[in-house]
Amino acid sequence: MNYVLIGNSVAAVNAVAGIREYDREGDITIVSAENYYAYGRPLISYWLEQRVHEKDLPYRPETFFAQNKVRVLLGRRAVRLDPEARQVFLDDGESLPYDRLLLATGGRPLVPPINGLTPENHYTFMTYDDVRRLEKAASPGREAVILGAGPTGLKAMESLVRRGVKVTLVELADRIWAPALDPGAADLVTGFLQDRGVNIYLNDTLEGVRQGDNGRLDLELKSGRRLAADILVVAIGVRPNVELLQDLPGVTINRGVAVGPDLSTGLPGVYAAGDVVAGNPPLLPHAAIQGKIAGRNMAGGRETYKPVLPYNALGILGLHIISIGLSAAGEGYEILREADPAARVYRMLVLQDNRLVGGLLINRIDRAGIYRYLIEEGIEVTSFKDRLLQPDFGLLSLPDNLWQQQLAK
Amino acid sequence: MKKVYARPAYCMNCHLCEVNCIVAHSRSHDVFRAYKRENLRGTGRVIVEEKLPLSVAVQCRHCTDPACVAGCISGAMVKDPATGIVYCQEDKCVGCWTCVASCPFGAIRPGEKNGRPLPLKCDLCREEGEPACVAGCPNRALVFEERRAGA
Amino acid sequence: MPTLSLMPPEFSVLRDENKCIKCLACARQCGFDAQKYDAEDDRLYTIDANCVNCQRCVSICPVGALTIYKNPPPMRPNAYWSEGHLRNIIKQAETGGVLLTGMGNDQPFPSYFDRLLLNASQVTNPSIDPLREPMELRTYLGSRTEPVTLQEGQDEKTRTPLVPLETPIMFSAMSYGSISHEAFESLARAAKEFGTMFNTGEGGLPEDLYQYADHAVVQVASGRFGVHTGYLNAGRIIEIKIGQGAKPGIGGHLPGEKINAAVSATRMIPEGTDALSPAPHHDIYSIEDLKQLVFTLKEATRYQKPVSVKVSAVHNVAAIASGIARAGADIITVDGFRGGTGAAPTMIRDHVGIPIELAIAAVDQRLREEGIRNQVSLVAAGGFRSSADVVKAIALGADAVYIGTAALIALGCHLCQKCYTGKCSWGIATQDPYKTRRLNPEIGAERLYNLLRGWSHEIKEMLGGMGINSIESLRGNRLHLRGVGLNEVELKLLGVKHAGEAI
Repeated sequence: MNYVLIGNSVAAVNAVAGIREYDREGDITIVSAENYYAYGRPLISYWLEQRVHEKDLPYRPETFFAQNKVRVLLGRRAVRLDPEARQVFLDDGESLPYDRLLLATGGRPLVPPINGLTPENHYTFMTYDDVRRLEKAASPGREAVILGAGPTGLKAMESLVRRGVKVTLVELADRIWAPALDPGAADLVTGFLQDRGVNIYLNDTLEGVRQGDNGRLDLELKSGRRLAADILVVAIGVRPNVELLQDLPGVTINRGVAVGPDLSTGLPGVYAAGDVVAGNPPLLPHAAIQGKIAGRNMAGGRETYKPVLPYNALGILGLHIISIGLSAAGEGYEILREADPAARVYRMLVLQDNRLVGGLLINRIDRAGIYRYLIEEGIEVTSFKDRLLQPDFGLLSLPDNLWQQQLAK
Repeated sequence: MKKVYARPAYCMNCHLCEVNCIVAHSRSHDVFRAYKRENLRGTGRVIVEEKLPLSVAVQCRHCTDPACVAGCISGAMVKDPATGIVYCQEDKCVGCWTCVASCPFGAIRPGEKNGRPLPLKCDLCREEGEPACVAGCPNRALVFEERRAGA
Repeated sequence: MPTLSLMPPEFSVLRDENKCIKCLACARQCGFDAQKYDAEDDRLYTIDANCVNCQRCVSICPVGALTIYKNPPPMRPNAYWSEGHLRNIIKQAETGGVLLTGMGNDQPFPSYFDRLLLNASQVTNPSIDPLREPMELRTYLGSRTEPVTLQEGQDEKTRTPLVPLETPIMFSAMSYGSISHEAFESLARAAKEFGTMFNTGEGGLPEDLYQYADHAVVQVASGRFGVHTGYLNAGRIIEIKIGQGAKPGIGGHLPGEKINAAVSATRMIPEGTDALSPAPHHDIYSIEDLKQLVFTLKEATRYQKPVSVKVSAVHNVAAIASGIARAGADIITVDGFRGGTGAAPTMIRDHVGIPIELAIAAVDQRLREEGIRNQVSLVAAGGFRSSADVVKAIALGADAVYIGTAALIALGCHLCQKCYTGKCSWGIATQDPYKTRRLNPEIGAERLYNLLRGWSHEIKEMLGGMGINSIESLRGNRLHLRGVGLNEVELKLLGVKHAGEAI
């Protein structure tokens, strides 16, 4: 069996592991547009603030590829797919035949058309190359404006602040990281950041960019506010890299590539996993799980991907946030909440029909995974609802049959 | 694979599994140094939960498809394909605590060692043989054995 | 209690702060609220007045940071007004109550076991090495076949079968309720594994332990708790409990707090009610009455179960034993004044009854004289501390012995004598589910098995030394005993010569 994996990030690496569980011998080739072996993308902010060095970036040691007999083509791009001939063509003209192909091309930063915005006068925050470029500009005392206060914008903010850069966040929504933080939590985090000297402008966005004679940027916001900055980072989202499958018959593109429960795309032998998949949250755990399952299925497994709710753990300047599922929901839901503003602790659980559907934990995150388990499994919590936010909440707070079943695993 | 299973009927809430775990994961492997010099109090990788009279030691189940490994952003958390042991390569951890949010047993706690983040989770004392918690349990409330179901 | 108690703490708990790692195991394990943890100050401290010196904290402490010291007497030392007397007076002045205690008589009465020595072979008859040659400890309990005549009420057809023991040591009666299910199960499992008997005491046999019933002596006591035909027929031996060595003439009282759902179901009494065992059986006021009960029980079990009658060792125990044998009992159990208890008035425990050594000798002698020794087995109980005590008892005339206190010590008991409080830190004499789980019956059974194994080995060594290869050959063989420091009356009662006297 001949496997070709397009993309060399978390989904592809996990697919290798998945394939090898079933097929020790088949040929595996990875086509990587980037010039690096797979690294955890979220590490780039840690690299930028020098908490992680280049040698620690690799997601798996280089020996992983040798041990699993994987041929890795670095710096090469797949440009065309011929599903009839089962061949994929690379940018240098080489063609690779395949029996099974995985599209794990991920996504790329969404950069909206803005007056005066050019590739040269802004930065994105997704790849190692992005931060290598940004590092040169991010020296102490300079000023940065980050468009977008989602998780990417917040991590960019953290690493720039740690480098001594003065940061301003501009967010279109009425609060930061609106999909994950409810207004109460967003207020807490906003206050925390402002205490650390971060400017935050909400309900606003960038409308124009001009480069002044001194090299500094003059940014014009929708509200009419003007900001001067040395650095502009655009972090308002990602879009899936679907080009390789675009316009091929039998494939449905709905922003991402639509896949069946087995993660096949509709083209014979072609699977997809990770950020490129339609409806998949662009989060690392999801890419890893899908990659593993896609790999197994490519090699003969028959596994179904059960969608995993979005969840995210984010540390910003020492504040730890875990959001799970509908963590920002409010109206129409039952909310359990506990807050200790002095300790910057905020814990909120979202329930619907006596089942947990979301959770948000700030600064007191022990046992968070148990909430995620309750959410994922749709377990009714009526009998122990009053225990959920107790300080000693744990497995024993669940009904006997549940904790016994969990500990027997 | 062999795992540690709790037998709550005999767990007497002494928390000595935590003590033994801490010593086994200390630099010195000496109880006094571990507590009084290395300041490791509270860093047990096994958590004794209490709902008195019931108590039970909760620790990593070393899942077949571990959510903590899938969620780890740095590749620090891995499952050893040979032994099945899920463990953290501590020098690679950046302390994002996605593992904490991932674990359906709440068996990973955020911790810290020498100013560096350290997920507190059971590694079955992978360099020692029988896990210290099991070896030291005074009432055989923990056993290290192979069971088929869900293993 | 008065505002100002004149009772100073009997013990002091010392914590070596250099060693303490504040793991809090002591505070979590103390059954008597003597170890406390103040979370706000992150500080451990002790309330010495509550300490009973049960040693639980000392044993569980992983760093050996704890030591319990006995405090000096509360008043200036006085050989007559002992500390025990002083404390008892103070306590009663403050409470006005009857003094209660647990376990056996702890007063310094003489021990005849400690004044008896065993013989060994030299030159003229060779000793036997039990590691090289077979050595028989098997003991049969029950009534032996009469050689010729049929007797009233007991003939060949109605004789009950003998019960084999692989070692002449059984576990004494300790009821489920007075001890935990875990302790009870430990005894049952060890008895089965070793091939000996445990005794249900007067609290019945829990449903889930019927798998051990063929190694159970099932007791019928004055309260009749848990007695039904299923219970009688399940056991191997039935024992009518008349008296107990720790409290001759006294009934029993298990407080309602110890009667939880499981104990209630086993005892067949309502949950939470006190379980009162009357001092006498209200249907037994004579040997004839006793005979009625013996045969009622035999009829109920189709003569398949030997019946034992257990009495305290009291002044006229020999005559009583004769009556019991004539009442049709197959086994007589005599419980000496060192026997233990879950609860007894201190004055009774410490001042009533006679030493088991004298009782064994008296009973054996009397039954021999009356020619009825073979009709019954004689089981001795009450304060057997070692295999040597067992060997001496058998040489004095016992067929087998019961061990209670020794068994509990093997399970973890530290003789703090607070059984009656129900707070036992070792999970033995308590029904508190937080504490009972401390005694894993797997471990308990192993420890008891080890004790039986060790003692049995030692008994074989002692027998071999005497040149005997079977415990049967030692039974009542008082020539193997010599007394030291005993007066003539004592030597006569025990039926032994003084050390130095030849055969």
